[in-house]
Amino acid sequence: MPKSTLTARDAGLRACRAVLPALLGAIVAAGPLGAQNAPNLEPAATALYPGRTVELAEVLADPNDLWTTPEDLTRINDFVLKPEGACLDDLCVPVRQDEDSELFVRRQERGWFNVSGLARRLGQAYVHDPETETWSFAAVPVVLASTLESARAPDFELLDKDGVRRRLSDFRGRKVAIVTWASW
Amino acid sequence: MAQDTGGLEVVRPIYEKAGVTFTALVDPQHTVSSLYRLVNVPMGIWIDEQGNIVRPPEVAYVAKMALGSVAVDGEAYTAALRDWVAKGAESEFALTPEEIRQRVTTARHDADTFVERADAAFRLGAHFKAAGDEARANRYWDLAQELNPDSWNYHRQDWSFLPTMAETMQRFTSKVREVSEGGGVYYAPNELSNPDAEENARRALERAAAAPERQEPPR
Repeated sequence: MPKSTLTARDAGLRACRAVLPALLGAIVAAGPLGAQNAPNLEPAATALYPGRTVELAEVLADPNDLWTTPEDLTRINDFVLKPEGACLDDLCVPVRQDEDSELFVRRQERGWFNVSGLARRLGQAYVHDPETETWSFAAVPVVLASTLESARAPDFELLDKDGVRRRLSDFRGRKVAIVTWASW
Repeated sequence: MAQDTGGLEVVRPIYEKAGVTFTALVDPQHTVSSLYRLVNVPMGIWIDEQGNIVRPPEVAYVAKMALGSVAVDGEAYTAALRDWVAKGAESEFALTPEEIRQRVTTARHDADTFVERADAAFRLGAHFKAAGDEARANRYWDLAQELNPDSWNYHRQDWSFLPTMAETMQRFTSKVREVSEGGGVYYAPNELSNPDAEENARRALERAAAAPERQEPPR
């Protein structure tokens, strides 16, 4: 993880404070975030999700939450931001988008989504390494529970020994026995 | 499927030496353990042609674990697996949706926020390990093991990086002893084991203990 992440963010913040103090103050008064929410244009954060490592080019600076673009929300956990809320198939978490809310804000004429806030709403565990801005999320409990309780096997993609990507769902039509082992 | 932070580099030579003919996967972030809540190896999951689970995760092949030695009882497990391959849903070893729901629901109630946070912490540690950031890897693997001390995968993957094999084995055997003395088990028994498995395993361990130190076969 590059050490430059923090430095770049600090520089971005300072520049932003110098140029737009009055405007920022006005936005902050209305929003749930602190003053430090200029987008980080340096590789800002990394999000881990079971089976995925997602590098995020832009996030809002916030020591407590991970704010990404709506597109990056989908890259992280497949949720899609729609007018009715953040949705995964039939599951939708209502998100107010006409004004700043706990899960959504507008900054610099763009929308930003609170991925860790959504996790709290869903009871989804996460661990955050603040120095490298790396966020590791567990599976979404309601999704995991519904697949397991309906006995649907959660899908995944891994490399085989020859480096070829293989998905569990590629094996539809055949019986599959998964057996784990380890070198340790 | 290898639950192995070392990735292909570590795993491929073992697959090649074994000459495997089945689909042989590597899972450096233990993703499948996250998704299926696996806490040890080897564990098995059976999935039918439609992508439905017919046997949820359970210990596969192993009959008994005693202080650093594993007794493998593959016959009963393999026989059950062959029976299911031949008979499908008619096999006595294919569970009904209701039986699966019961097992999964029980497992879910046992899981709690600590277990979920441990999962996130373990993958964070694995991420730093892969990036060569040992200090952070250790910090989050320690956290994972504190939050979910029941996951042998976390302990053993971590201890595999101790400087010597002797230290790895020492940590492992002392943990197994500690758990056993507390009335716990290293491998939760599955229902596929031969009823005589425990006795067979005890004998196998005695034989192993009586045998001279195992030598590598000459090349």
